[in-house]
Amino acid sequence: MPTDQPAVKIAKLKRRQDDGFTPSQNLYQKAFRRIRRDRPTLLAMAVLAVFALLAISAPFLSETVFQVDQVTQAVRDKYLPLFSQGHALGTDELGRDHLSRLLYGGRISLGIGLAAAILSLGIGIVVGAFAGFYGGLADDLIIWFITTLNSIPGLYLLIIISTLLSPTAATLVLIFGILGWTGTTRLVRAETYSIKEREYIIAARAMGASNWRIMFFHIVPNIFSLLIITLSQAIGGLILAESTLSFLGFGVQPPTPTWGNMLSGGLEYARKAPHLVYLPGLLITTTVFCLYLIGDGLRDALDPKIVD
Amino acid sequence: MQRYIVRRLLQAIPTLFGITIIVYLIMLLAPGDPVSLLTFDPTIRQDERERLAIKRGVNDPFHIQYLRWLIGDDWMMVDSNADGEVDAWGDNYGILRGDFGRSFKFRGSNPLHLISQRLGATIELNVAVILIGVLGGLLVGVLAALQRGRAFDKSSRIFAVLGDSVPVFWFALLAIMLMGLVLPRALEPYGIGDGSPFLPMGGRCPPVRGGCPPIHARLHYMILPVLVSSLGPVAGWSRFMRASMLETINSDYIRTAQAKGLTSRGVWIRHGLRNAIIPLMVFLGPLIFGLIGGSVIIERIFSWPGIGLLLFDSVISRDYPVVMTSVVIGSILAILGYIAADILYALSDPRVRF
Repeated sequence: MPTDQPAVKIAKLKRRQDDGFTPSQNLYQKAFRRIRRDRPTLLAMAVLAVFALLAISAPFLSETVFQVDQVTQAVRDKYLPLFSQGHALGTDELGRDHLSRLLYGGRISLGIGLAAAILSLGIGIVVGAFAGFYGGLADDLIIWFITTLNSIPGLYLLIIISTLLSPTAATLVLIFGILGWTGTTRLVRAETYSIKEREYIIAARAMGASNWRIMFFHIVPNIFSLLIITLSQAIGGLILAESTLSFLGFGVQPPTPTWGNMLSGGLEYARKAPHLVYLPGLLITTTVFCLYLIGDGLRDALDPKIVD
Repeated sequence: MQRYIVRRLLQAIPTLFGITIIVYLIMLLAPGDPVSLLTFDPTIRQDERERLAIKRGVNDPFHIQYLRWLIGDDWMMVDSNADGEVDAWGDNYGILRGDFGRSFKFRGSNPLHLISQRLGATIELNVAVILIGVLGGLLVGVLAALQRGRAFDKSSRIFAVLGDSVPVFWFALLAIMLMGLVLPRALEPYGIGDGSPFLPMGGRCPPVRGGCPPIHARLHYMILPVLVSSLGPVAGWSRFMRASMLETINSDYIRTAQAKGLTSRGVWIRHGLRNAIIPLMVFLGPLIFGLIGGSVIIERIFSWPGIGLLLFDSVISRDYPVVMTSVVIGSILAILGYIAADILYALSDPRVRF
């Protein structure tokens, strides 16, 4: 068959548009297309990608490129300002290189945020799917437990548990994970509750799928878009929580650098070396800001109700 | 209405019960043997320590220990002289009857008493934050909705996300540095001020004899802490308000009002604003809850003598009875805040039935 004339092609395309027909694009393809046009979100993603790259390559960057390390102390070189010879971002109260500590601190702060968010999301998904799917007494108990846990101000619990355990980065991830799953659980539970009555779940059951399979292969993938949004916001919230905990003195203990404890450590020396205060704070704010922007952008991009 | 309140209060009982279990379980994690924690006296003699351990029921199973803490042990016989036989009534009344033990740090004081001394400061601060935060947020939100899509709307969105992502303590410190150091120094040459801080950098009262002056005499002590902790609420509520306002003005009754020829101010304020505020009442509970938790940070930075600072100090000095009491009381306050917010919602929206 000969190819259509241009005019016919255009008419065909136009008819398709009038029908609201977009050729075989699923939600994620659509979301990807929308995000490509959403400049603030793209910018936030780029900034975050740079931060992540810097954090991952921290050892290489500081030791090979800048020829500094994060532990060497130098009494003579305390409180060097920005752009000093050999210390691009100055030094701290012990003469340690600030740039290198920021790089390593980013590794731990971002790492804690990501790991704890994944852990709490994982717990939330499993418990939420379980509670929503089975309902009944188990559901009541889980909801009672969540209501209880959510009635204790989160910071109170964090402070107390952190003093009792004096955490390392790994235990802090565990603490955040164990305290932070309730929001995801509520979300997943509510969604599971409504999804489990839909036809395709009944169809899956008719084909002999086990409960486990229905939960994790048919229900959870359908709320995946919600979970991505939750994830980006959870990471931001957790980075903030880590810095707050460090500020109060209960976070990861020095000399291990995190942005939070560098910031709180710098407070005493704010007059002599203000860069010890505003640089880590700026990094935390920028990171969290980007994560929240991305969350916002994803919410718009992944909303199935928006037709473009 | 009364039935609704009673029902909400009854529903809070299982939650409170759970809170006490969680608090007690966490405290069991505390390092060190329970007796030295109970007495906090390193000079105690060995035999006395053992007697006390048995009297306090350290070797009892968990649920017995918990019950003794919760409802007291004056209704049961305990082994007071450690001879293996129960011989005397217990002397602990349990937290349900207000006996939270005795503070280690403030020797012998009742933790409840310590908290009631501090409660006023926390409530004073947070009521101001709620007022400023909510009103500021409503204002920004309405303006953003009116200017939809224009510069103010867009910048208010950036401001809202930024307000959520700034670590509160960092923002507070920048504010302190600005008002206490940078601005006074910069303005001194121009004859404004004498180089000393413009505002008190912390504390709740001027250091004078005879306690705190009345609130109107020390409002300037509240300016910095209230403004700093209002940032988050203003950011959040401006978004809620914008969304709610936009939803409201698309409803039919707004179009009717416009069709009747009302002035646009009348439509926006009388018909739009008042209805747009109602759904926001839902967010009042979480706001109060967040403020109670966040009070630890704000009170620590500004040396504000409230229960947040009390909790912080007691955690640092491992004053466990006060820690446990603060958590339980803080949670009760949070629950009451939620209930109060729900009641307010029910009162403001006639469609809500009890």
